[in-house]
Amino acid sequence: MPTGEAREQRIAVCDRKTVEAVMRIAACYSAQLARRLGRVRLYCSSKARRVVYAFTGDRVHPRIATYRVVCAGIPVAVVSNKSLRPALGMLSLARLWRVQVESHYVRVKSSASLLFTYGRDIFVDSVEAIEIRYECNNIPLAVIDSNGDLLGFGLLSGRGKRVLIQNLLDVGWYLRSGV
Amino acid sequence: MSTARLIERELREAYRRLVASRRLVALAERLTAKYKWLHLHHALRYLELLGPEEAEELFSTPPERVMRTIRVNTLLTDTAQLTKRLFEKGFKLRKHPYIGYGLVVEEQPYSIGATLEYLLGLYTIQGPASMLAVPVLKPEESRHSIADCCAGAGVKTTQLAQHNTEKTIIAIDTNYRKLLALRNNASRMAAANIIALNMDARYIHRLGSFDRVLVDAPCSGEGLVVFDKGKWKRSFEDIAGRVKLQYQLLEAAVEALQPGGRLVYATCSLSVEENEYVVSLITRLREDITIVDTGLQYGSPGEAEYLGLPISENARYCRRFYPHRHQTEGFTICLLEKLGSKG
Repeated sequence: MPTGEAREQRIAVCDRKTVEAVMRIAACYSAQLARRLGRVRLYCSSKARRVVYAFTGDRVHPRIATYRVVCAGIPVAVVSNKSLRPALGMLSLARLWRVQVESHYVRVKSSASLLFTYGRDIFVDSVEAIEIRYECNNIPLAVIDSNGDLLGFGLLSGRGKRVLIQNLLDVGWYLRSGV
Repeated sequence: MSTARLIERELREAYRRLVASRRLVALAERLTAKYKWLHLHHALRYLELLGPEEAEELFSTPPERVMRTIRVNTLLTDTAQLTKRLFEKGFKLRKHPYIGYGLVVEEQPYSIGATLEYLLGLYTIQGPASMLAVPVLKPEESRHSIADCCAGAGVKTTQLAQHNTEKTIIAIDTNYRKLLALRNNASRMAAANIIALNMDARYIHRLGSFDRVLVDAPCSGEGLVVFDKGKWKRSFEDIAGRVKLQYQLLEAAVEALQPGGRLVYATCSLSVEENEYVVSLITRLREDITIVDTGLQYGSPGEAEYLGLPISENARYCRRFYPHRHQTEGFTICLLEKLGSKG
């Protein structure tokens, strides 16, 4: 049975560069979200696929950090293809803190929002509203349904009549993930 | 004598008394002929615990008798709002009779686990009796930190987080895959004060001390006999093996508990060996821990007499939930407190 001790640290407080990158992502959606995230601790996993966790509890005791930590808080960002991308946990925190996404989002019609949660893309005629911050052009758009529920993230893709919002990550992943 | 040997000896003597009764053996054989999934030892034990009529009633309880329940995630919504949202989708819900933030699903047009509200973390699916273990612990009163031993996929861990969003909750399990599910559940439900460790909870004392500890011990699952997944043969040896592990987990948890701290020991089993006997044993072997009243008004009292086993009078403070009496999965909850000042 594992006693849990790892030979090296599994999580650590994120470096300043990572923290600033996560805040920049959050600020794309809401200044309030970025401010709230700035007040919690961000921990980074030391594995190859880095995950950034937002932790709202007390300080993590250094001894605990040497164990095989599966999570320390909830994932708010992940390094993917060498760039930092938001994770579903960022939307969960927005829900928890009752923060409205004010910018860099796409709001979709009901039928399309349901399909989005099945992992599908969104076509332009299903879009009710879209607001893009051009300084955030490398950051995915937050996808919202007509009730204001945060469904996931998408990337603006294509041109002309073939424009669509490519599904990057949606809340349906919680069921599809297999764990 | 080691504790493992002591448990083995005491249980063996108790079971010897049980199989010596021809009347009980005859009744048990009749039951096992009727319920093919039932082991003779299992039948004997429940005949002794409940008597012939009630034992039969338990074994014949259909799964529909047990309430189908969800736990409202009070971090993100409330019971009224969620009921309204789900009602609009064709779900019929009523209040859980034993807990304020529980709902009973009476009618569902499709699976309650497939709604957008579930994916948004507004609720989670949890057994009706299992939901009662966390409030007994009073995690909201924690001044230090909280441990969830044998956390699994984190259903009770996220419930702890609902009660206390500030204190660190350490969730421990040996099953890495289940902890990945815990991570997903915590993310879905915005429970951001949980640290999940893949380790054996028998080493919890290495992490420091806690003023609130939940031990949802791995058990025989006898409380789930109303469901197909709970219908499998359980011999005396199956029970005895689990009791030894349960005691080790409980002992480690008590060691890590601060003076004045609370510990809830819970299982989805109705066997006295896995519940009242285990908690009584720790109070026999240690002077600094005692069984106290859970404060629950529902359920049945714990069993203080069974098979001549050495069980504390205080075991009556435990609470038992039976499918045929309470419309819940079989479940037992015991509350212990460590003596000494809170510091």
